[in-house]
Amino acid sequence: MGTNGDIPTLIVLVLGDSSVGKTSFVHTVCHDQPLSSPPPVTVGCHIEIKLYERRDRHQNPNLFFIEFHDVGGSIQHKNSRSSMFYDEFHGIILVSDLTSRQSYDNLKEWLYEVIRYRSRQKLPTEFTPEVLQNFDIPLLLVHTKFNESNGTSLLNNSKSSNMTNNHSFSSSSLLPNYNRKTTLANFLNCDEIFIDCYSNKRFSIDTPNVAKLNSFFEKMIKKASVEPVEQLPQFDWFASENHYIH
Amino acid sequence: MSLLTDTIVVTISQIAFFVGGWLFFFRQLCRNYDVRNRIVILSFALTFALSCTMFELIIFEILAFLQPSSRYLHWRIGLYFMLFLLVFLIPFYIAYLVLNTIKIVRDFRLVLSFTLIAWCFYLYLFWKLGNPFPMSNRHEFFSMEQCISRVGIIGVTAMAILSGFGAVNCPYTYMTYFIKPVTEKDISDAQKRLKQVMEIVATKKKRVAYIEYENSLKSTFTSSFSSMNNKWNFLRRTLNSSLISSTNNNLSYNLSTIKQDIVTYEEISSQLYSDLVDLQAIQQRIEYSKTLKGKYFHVLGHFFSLYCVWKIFISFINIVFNRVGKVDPVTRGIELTVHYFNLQFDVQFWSQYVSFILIGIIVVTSIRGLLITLTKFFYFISSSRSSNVIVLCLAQLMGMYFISSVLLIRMNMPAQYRQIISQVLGDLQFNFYHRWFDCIFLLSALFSIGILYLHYRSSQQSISLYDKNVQKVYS
Repeated sequence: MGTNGDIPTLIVLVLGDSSVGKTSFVHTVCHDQPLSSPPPVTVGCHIEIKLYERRDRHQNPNLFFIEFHDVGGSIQHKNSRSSMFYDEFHGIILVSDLTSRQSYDNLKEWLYEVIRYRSRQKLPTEFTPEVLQNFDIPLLLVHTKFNESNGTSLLNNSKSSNMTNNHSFSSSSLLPNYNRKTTLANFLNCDEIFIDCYSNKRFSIDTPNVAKLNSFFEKMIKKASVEPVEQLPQFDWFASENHYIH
Repeated sequence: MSLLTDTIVVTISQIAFFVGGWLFFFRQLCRNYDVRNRIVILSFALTFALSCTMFELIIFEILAFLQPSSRYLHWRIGLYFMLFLLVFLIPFYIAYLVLNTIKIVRDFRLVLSFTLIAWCFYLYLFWKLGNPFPMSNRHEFFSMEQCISRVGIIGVTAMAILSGFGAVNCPYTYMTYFIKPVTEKDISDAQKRLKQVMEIVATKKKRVAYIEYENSLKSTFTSSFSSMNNKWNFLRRTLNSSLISSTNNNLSYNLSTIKQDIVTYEEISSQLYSDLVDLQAIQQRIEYSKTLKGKYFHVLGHFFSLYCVWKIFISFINIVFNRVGKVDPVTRGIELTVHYFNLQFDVQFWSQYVSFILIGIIVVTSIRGLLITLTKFFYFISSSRSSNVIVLCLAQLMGMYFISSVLLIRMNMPAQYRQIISQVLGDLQFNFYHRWFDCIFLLSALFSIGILYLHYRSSQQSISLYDKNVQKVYS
C-alpha cells in the first residue's frame, strides 16, 4: 500500500506507575472511545498508533503516525525497561493517578530514569534540577481518574487534600482555578491534562484536552524537524494580496 | 519479684520486635505503595512482635533462662493475645475494608452491620473447618484448644505449601544457572527478537489505522454524494456504493486477519519480554555471585539445595512407611555418631546446646524466608487499590504460620523441652500435625515441579512460535 514509507512516524513514551491508567488513556486517545473494562497489567510495552492529521495554511492534510509506547510500570522490571524501550523517542507523556499522591510524586523519578539512561554518565541517584538543563524533549503530564478524586487537589502546593482549608495559604490563589498548574508542570514548563478515561464522552469533542494534546504533537513535530517550518514571507506588505484571494 | 524482672525482660524484647516489624514494613514492603492506614500497620507489627516473642520463649526454655512459672504465664498471655488478633480483629478489619472498597452502601452503620454479618460467617466457616480432622480428645466447646487446633491446621497447610514450593524452586534456580549460564549474546539476541516483534506489531497497527482512515474518508465522500437529490445521482450513488462495498469487503476481510495477527504478535511480545526479564535476572545473579558476599551465599545455596532434596525424600519415606518421628534428629544424630565412633559422650548435655543452635537457625531462616517470600508475593499481586487488604491478609498468614511452626518445632526438640509446649497448647494430637505437614509438603512439592516444568515448556514454545511466525514474515 506504500503508506508506511510515505508517512513519517513519531514515537511517544508513556510512563507512570503501575495501574495509573496509561493503557486506558492511550486507547482513549487512539480509538476515541473508552475500553469496556480496565485492561490487564501491561507486561513489557504496548504499542498503539494514532494517525494525526495536520492541516497547513492551505488546508492540505499532512499525515503523521504517532506511535505510543505504553511501558508497563511494575517495579520488578526496572532494569530491563531502560535498555529496551528508552532508546528512541520524540516525546514523553507522564501519567499519574489523582487518587494516589504517591504516583504524582514518582513522576520525577520516572523522568529521571529516562534522563539517566540517555545521558550515559554517572548521575547521582537523587533528582536535582540541574539535570533538566540539557533536556529539551517535549513533555506532557496526564492526570487520570479525574471523577474519582476530589478533583484538583494537586493544585494546592501542600500535602493536604482539603482544598477549602488551604485556599488562603496557597501562594498563587490570585489566579483562577482552571489556569493554575501543579508544581511539577510549572517546574517542567509543560502542559497537563486532567481526564477521566472511562467517561462516555468521546475524547475528540473534549476540546481543551484535545488542544493541549495537539500542541504537544506540534512541539514534537517541530523538534523532530520532520516538517520544515514554513517560512513567513519576507515582505509582509504583500499580505494584502492574500487577503483578497481568500 | 523475679516475676517482675522477667516481665520487664520480655516486654523490652517485645517492644524491640515491634519496632523491628514496623521498620521492616516501611523499608521493604511499602517502598512504592503508600499504606497510610495506621491500624493496618499496627496489626502487622503486633502480629510480628507476638510471633517473635513465642520463638524467643522457646529459646529461653532450652536455655532455662527465666523462671518456669513466668515463662508459662507469658506463653499464655502471648497466645491469648495472638488468637484474639488472628480470629477476631484482623478478619473483622479485612471484611470492613473490602466492603468499603466495593462501595455498595455509603452509610457507615450499614457497612458496619454488613461487616459483622461477614465476620460471623467467617467464624462459622472457621469452626466447620475443624470438624473433619481428628483434633483434641476433649469435647468442650469454645475452648482454647479448639481455637488453636483450627489455627494450627490452616497455618500448617500454608507453611507446607510454601515450604514445598521453596524446596523445589531453590534447586531448580541453582541448577539452571549451572547448566546454562547466560551470556551477553543470549540477552542481546532476546532483545533483538523483542524489538523485531514490536516493529511488526507497530507496522500492522499502522496499516489498520491507515485503512480505517481511508474508510472514513470514503464514507464522508459517499455521504456528501448521497446528500444530492438528482435521479442521476441516484444511479451514481448505487454504482459507487456497490463498488465501495466490494472493496470494503476485501478490506474488511484484510482488516480482520490483520487484527488477529496483531493479537498473536502481542502475545508473543509479552512472552518474549518475560523471558528477557528472567534472563537479565539470572545474569545479575551471576554477577552478584562473583562478589565476596555472593560467593558466600552461593555456597550456602548448594547446602540448602541438598537439604531441600533430602527433606522431600524424607517426607516421602515418612508417608510411605507410616512413620512419625519419636526422637528428634539431633539426639538421634548424636547417638549414631557416638555409637559409630565409640566415644564417651554425655548425650543429654550436648544435645541441649546443639538443639538450641539448630532451632535458632531454623527460626531465623524461617522468619527471614517468610519475610522475603511475603515481599515478593506482595509486589507480585499488589496494586495501589488493594494494598491495605493484602497487607492484612499477609499479617494473618504470618501469625498462623508462626503458631503452626511452634507446633512443628516440637518435633525437633529433645523430650524434656517438649513438655512446656504440650502444657501450654493443651491436649492436641501432635502426631497428626506432623503427618499432615508431610502430606501437604509432598503434594505441594509435586505441584510446583509440575508448574516449573510447564513454565519451562512454555518458554521453549514461545521461542519456537517466534521462529515460526517471524521467519514467515521475513522470508
